[in-house]
Amino acid sequence: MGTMIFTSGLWIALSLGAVAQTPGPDEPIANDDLHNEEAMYRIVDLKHPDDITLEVSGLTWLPDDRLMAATRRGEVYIVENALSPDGSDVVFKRFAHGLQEPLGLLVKDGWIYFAQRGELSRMRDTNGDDRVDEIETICDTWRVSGNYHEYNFGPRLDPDGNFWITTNKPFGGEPFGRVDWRGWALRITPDGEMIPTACGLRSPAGLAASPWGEMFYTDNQGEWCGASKLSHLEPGDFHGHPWGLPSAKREEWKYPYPGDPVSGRPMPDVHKEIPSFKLPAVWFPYDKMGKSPSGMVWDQTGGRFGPFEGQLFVGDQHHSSIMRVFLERVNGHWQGACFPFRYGFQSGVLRMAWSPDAKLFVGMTNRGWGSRGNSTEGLQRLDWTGRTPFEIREMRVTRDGFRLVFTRPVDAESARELSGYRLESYTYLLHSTYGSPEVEKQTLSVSEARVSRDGLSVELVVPDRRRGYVHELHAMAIRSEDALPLLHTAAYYTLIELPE
Amino acid sequence: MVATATGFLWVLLLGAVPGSDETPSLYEVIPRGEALLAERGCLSCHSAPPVAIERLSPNPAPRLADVGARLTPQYLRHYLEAPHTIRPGARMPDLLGGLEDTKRRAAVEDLVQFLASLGGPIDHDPSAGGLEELESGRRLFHESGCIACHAPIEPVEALERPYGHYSDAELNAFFEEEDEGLFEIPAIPGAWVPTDIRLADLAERTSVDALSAFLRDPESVRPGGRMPSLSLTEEEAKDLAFYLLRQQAKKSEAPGIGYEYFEAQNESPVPSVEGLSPSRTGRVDDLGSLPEHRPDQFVFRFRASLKIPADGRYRFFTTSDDGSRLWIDDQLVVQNDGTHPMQERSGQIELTAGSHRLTVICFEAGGGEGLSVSWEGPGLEKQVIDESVTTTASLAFQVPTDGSFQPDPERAARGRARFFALGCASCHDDVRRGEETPARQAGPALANLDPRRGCLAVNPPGELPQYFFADAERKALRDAVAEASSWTEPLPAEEQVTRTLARHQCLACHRRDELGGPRDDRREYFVIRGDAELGDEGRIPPHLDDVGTKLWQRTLEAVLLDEERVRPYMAARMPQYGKQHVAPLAALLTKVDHDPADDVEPEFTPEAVQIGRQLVGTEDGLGCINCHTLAGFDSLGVPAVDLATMTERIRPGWFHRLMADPMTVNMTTRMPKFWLEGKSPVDVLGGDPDAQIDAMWSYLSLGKSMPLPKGLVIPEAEYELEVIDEPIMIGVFMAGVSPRTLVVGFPESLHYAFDMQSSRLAKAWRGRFFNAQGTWHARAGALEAPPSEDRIDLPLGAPFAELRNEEQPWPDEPADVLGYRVLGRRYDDERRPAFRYRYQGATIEEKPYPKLERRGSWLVRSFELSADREPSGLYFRAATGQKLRSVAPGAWLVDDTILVQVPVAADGSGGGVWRANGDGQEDLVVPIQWTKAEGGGVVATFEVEMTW
Repeated sequence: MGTMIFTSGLWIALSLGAVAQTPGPDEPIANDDLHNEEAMYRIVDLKHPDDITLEVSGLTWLPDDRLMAATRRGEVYIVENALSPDGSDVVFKRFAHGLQEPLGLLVKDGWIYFAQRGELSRMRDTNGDDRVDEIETICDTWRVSGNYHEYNFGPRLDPDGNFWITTNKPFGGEPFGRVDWRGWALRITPDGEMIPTACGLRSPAGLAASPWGEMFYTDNQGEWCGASKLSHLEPGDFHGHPWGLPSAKREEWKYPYPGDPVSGRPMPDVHKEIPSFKLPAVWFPYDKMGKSPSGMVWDQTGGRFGPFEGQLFVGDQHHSSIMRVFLERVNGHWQGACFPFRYGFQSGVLRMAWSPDAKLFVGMTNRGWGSRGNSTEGLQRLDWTGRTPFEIREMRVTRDGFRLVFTRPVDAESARELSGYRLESYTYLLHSTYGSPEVEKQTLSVSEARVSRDGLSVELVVPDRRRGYVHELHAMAIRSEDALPLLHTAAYYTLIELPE
Repeated sequence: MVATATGFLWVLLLGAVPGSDETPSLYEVIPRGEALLAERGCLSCHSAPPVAIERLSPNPAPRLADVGARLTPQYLRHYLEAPHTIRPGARMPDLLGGLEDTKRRAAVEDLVQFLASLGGPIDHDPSAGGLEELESGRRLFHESGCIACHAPIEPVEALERPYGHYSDAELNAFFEEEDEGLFEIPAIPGAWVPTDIRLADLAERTSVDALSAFLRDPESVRPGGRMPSLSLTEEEAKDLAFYLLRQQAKKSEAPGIGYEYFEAQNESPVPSVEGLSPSRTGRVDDLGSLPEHRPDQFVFRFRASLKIPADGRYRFFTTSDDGSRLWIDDQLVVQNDGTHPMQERSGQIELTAGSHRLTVICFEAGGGEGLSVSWEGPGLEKQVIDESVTTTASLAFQVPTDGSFQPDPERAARGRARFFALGCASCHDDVRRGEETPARQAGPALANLDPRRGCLAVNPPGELPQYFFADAERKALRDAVAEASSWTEPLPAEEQVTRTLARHQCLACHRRDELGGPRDDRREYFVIRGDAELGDEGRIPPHLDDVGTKLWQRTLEAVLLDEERVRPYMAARMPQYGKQHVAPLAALLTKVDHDPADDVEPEFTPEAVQIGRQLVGTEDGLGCINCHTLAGFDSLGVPAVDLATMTERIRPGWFHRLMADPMTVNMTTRMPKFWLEGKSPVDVLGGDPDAQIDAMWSYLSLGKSMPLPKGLVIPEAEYELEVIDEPIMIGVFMAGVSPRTLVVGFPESLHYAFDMQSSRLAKAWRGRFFNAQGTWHARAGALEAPPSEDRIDLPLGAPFAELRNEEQPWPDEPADVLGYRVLGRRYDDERRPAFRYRYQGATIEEKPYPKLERRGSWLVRSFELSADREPSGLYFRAATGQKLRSVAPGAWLVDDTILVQVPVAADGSGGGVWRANGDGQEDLVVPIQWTKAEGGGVVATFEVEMTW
């Protein structure tokens, strides 16, 4: 996989060169054939031995510059030579086994923290033989009913030192009886106390702390979750799924009971009826972006991974892809746009982690759900080749429309061509059935497009924007100064708030 | 839906859903005047050429030949007295309009006598059912599709709570409730269909037997095929009839014991079944044995009212495999917990004479099973509880009787004469006058009608049928009549399709060309069976866009006529309307939709088959089997439609479009698009999407004889965990233990299961270690059990407890409830885990491991305890059983099977305390001996060894 355009030895040499050095200033890309995902971001296979089932469920980089991967089978591997340029000579050492479906790894103070089905735990190797010697239970206040779908994701750390985890709701039989705190975000204090923090989650497979310390999570479309989404998690929130609401009547929950959602309401109305119902930061329109968002990482590489510093990369299990998200805070609400970024991973993308030199490790599995990527599992690496794709870097909401910020200067004439923009808005229903159609659809027009002096941004004047709606943009005609078309022409802005 | 003398329901059925956003009512599709001509029986009197009959597809009146056996006389009277008053929009005309009141009443009575004599009178014998049958009928009504046309009776949330959980008062209130349907359908001014199809007064009309017979074969009574069959079994039809006639139910007590059977996975000590829906219910004569059940993983709950003959103290016994409990009223009397072979436990209770509630729950995890429940008391020898002392709730359904009705052959004969004189037989033409063919009321032919006169006059003459048309209806009819002479050509096929779909309410479930689909207030009643996570595709019937070029015509025919079902997970059933009505539909759909280019099959070659097989599989394929069943083999995830049926159902062209981009043929599908921008994720056939799709077709065309693709069936052996050198661990859900069980295997072939949740060593076994398939394959999550019969179960409850003295019974609560805190685990140099937890200020570490001895392996439980100060009265419980026997100092034989060695001091002290612990139960406890630790505080170390 991923060898299609690398038939030219010259290009291999070029791209390896770029990997090895700090990328220089953008060179114009003369050859359009090289302006594609593969040429910009190269997928490197990291092969694992046949006798290992590497259904990656957690990834982290260890302080000693080695990679660690947890698997759904409860094993943990230390991966050596993971930075080998062509992915050869990778060595897998089994660090631990017998964990119960760990779905996240976090390194802190010499320990490796991980959430299992029934507890938040930490482990370490005390004698330096690369094998676990101690496993400690930090918190096991919640229970498991014995349903396969009761996954726990995390932990992620907040600035106060609390560990956050998200809990999946069961699907079907609960042999040990229904339990509390399923479909929740929970905080665990450093001394192991559990603080129920937000409810209404469905299948919250991704959790990440932002660089500014706030917590975000991804949820999968289904019943009571009209479209997959990225949401800001704040204490007291209700995110829409009523499954876990009975727990919100317990005394451990220190916030008002959210109220019971009525099935079939458009999302913006739900927010009016249930004030604690949190509208998302970004909806990922079904199939257009992905079908099952998973883990995510913020780009804090200082430009070593390309032009997306400060943005968020979100995996999609089904599409075997990575999506890109731009966020901005408007009237106190985090919102923004999502864009396609990179397709073509070998299996369902579940977890991602940065290496110290800004390469993105991608852990995958598709067991039980299937994915476009046709391997059942594995580990790959995404290397920036040093070439800057022509992309919509940001889509911001403005007083009278949207501002598009590009990664390369645009050709002003093509950017001013109003017929080159296709724009429509829609929202979703919060209802008990699986997923929501796009409802209340409206076609919008761009009445003016102004190009900035540096050619890096374009102001679009768009009448009739609506709060609580996705604004789907296709910029078909726009070209870069050097005549490149956009690598991805679509952007989906979830507009919850309008700037005052 | 029940047979009535008049057939008004068809009208309601046909226009069931005005006001719906999604489902068009009949007259939006069929011009209203034509619909009225068809539904009101106009062509029974006014002859029309075949082309007009074909166009209108008149709906014949209900069959009356045995109406007396179906309907009560009081209902017939009620209805005939004023059909259009009690049923606005009734389809039957009033034929007695010309009579003044007294004569009219006499005429009605004559007709009632005649109709009641046709096969009647209706049987008044009660039918007996139970709450369980009622529950089954309730589910059939709301989930198998009835609610697409009939108003739901209960809100969808109410269905989550089974009737078994209702109190008597709630049940009685429910039985008495007047059902007017849950949904107010706004009447459309001037519409000829005022409302949804109501089932409100069924209980007044008919009996369980008559209604269930009708439900099984509606066409025999209503030949118009508007009310379909849902292919109900005899039992299902009866259950549904019970539900629809619930107002007839009288609850009473009958001898015996009622039970509910749950195919549930179990937990220890005894599972709760609250909130679960039983797989089956029934009644037994005694508690000497278990009713029919599957081999493992089930729970029974028995409930009855127990007659206590005299005041006094009674002892109850359960002998069960695995655990059981018995309650009298709400008091737990027998606790026979955990997984174990047949064992007897008993308990006593003081009872007053009279009725008391008896509840017994027993469960089976794995292996053998059995149950016997006995009692003894004052003047009562120990005996199995049976029907001589128990009663259980039963429901009797009886048609309400009408004292005023006495069969009167003379009046019936008069009624018969009136029936023919009035022309009733024009429509109800199954009622014959002797051997004659039924007389047609002579009316002008349709083409010769004056649309302003006769039945269509604003005030029709009294001797004519009175239809009470609304103004808009009359206008529509007049227009249609005026047009009728122009109906000389058959309708275009497209129009015929639409009309057929509308006539049979297909669009109440299916969408076609932007029309139809379940209306919003009904969608939630469409459910999936079982736990399959298939989203709306699993519960909402498929759309019919292009269905004539999607499916082969023979497939359409099989679905329409032969009850073929390819979606076993969908609770809604494809109704059967009868050959006469829908047989042409398959051909019509084909004619309208079919593109012959879709029939071109790709070339079949063995090479293509091999590539298709690779693509369908998961090893360097597209992984179709991740979601699709294949030739009866479960998929790796959800149970989507069986791939082995694809090519016999679907045409190749449509298949190609589906594969290339699924959302183009089904907007809501969860099926992925595999070829992005024309690129294939699999490097075969040059990556050409079309060639790859063709190869898959070739492979799938083998049907059930296709060689299985790779990845579908992973041999169980692939998951077998074999312990070679170091211990192997796996975290699982374990039956009878907890969903947080760590299973640990040793090369010495002795293994154990440790409950991480309640810090309990739960099971130990010898032989095979473990097979991880249930925990690692597909979505997994199986409730596991040790793979060996050579095993022991260790005591339930906490391993350590604080006791005031040696007489205090051991607490029942598990460790996590007692306040234990789990600390984690450590590994020793041989990679053996030691489990750590905290209780009463002491840190406790338990390391179980095998020790090889001359005659096999022993299980050693090694303990290290430490505390800042000595906890008072801390004991360890080494064993529980019914019979403990000392065989040597510190050595005990438990129930003649397990040998347990506890520590004995050099001076011979220690050796454990053997004591009674509640009814019939004994246990072996060890007081903890503390010594001062060097760095301060106290420590205790000891080992307990056991073999069996």
